[in-house]
Amino acid sequence: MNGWLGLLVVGLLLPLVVNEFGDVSHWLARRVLAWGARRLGASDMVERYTEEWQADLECVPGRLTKLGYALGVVVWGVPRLRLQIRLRHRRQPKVDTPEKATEVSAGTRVRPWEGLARRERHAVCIAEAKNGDKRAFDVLIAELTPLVWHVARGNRLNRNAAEEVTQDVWLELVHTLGSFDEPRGLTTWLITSTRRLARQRRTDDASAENHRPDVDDKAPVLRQAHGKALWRAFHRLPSSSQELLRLTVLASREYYDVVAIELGLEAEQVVAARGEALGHLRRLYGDEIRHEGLAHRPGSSWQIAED
Amino acid sequence: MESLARVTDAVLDVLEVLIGPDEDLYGLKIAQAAGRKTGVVYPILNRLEEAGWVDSFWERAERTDRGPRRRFYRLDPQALNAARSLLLERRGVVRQRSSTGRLAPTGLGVRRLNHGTGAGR
Repeated sequence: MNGWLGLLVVGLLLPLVVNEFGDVSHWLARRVLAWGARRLGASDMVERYTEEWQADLECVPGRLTKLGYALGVVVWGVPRLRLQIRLRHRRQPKVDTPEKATEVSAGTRVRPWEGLARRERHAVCIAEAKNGDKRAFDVLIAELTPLVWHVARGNRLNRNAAEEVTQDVWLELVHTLGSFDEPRGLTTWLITSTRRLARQRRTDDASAENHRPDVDDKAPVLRQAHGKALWRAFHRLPSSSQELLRLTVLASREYYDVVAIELGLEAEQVVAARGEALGHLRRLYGDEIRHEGLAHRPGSSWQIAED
Repeated sequence: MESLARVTDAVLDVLEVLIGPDEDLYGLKIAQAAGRKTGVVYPILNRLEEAGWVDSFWERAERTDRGPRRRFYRLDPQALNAARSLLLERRGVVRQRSSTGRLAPTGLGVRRLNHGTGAGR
């Protein structure tokens, strides 16, 4: 197929086709909401919204994912509510009672990991978590679960298995937290542990080895032929390429250096490796659409129905 | 009851839900009926509450082991006229939204319109 077409299709479709991270389990959404509510500061608001959001979470209908709801509330709602709460405190004259003092200080309680670069932030969060600060751990979960998820999926786990492995990795961290000491950093530990658990999972559970990848047909782009073809092509890539693409295309640029360490490459070589993987994917995609007899012209033959 | 600052389209959509026929309006349900993101709707409801337009209350008195309680929102009766005036002023019409379809007032009463997304959100 044409080089430019392959580039266009893959570049546009790949994130849509493979970004199925949203369906992580319930417990993670609950943790994210609890963390978001704590950021509101004022203790009466924290308590009220913790319960309110957990209750509404149970009512999230099938099409929205629970984590999507949680992230939406935390990313959009929490900053605005914080501002409203601060304005409210400013409007009301402060009575100098101990209760009021706690209320304000709950919001300004030091979060020592703020404003730090990623490695330092993780190190500080680990240290604080060791001291019993649950918020610190929640920060890590919220930030790093996409990484864990994509490594799990890149290691050929189906979605259920990936969910369970994601939970297991965090549980393992919780249990080993007291003696956690990873000089190469938390992200490396997470990647290594996830791969290990994924391997164990694949050996324990032979049926987890999917030769027909589970297409999430709730995603609109996968209801049409080109999306499905790209999906199949992606899952024909070797594990290492899948993982590489997931981490560099779907997670974030932040992880390039981590990926480099894991693959034993220099950071610049990651870009080249990613380019190679994309090239491989384009060729496989070309095979798939030829095999399916699909047309080569994007505009007329498919439309992505956006929700 | 205070007047509202910064009345956005989203605020008006939320008001249309609050003057609508639905009962047991919790945040998520209001957001779905209004067609707005929950992250936008919760702060709006908080503002409405602080301005005295809306009351909120737990779905039951005690937190038992039946799990977390939902928080229901209700337009304060004193705010109903203000809400209607605001909608009339900004949109030229007072519509109600519900989670089962949109109701539009006509001169002769209320006629149900299909929201186009089918029954039962």
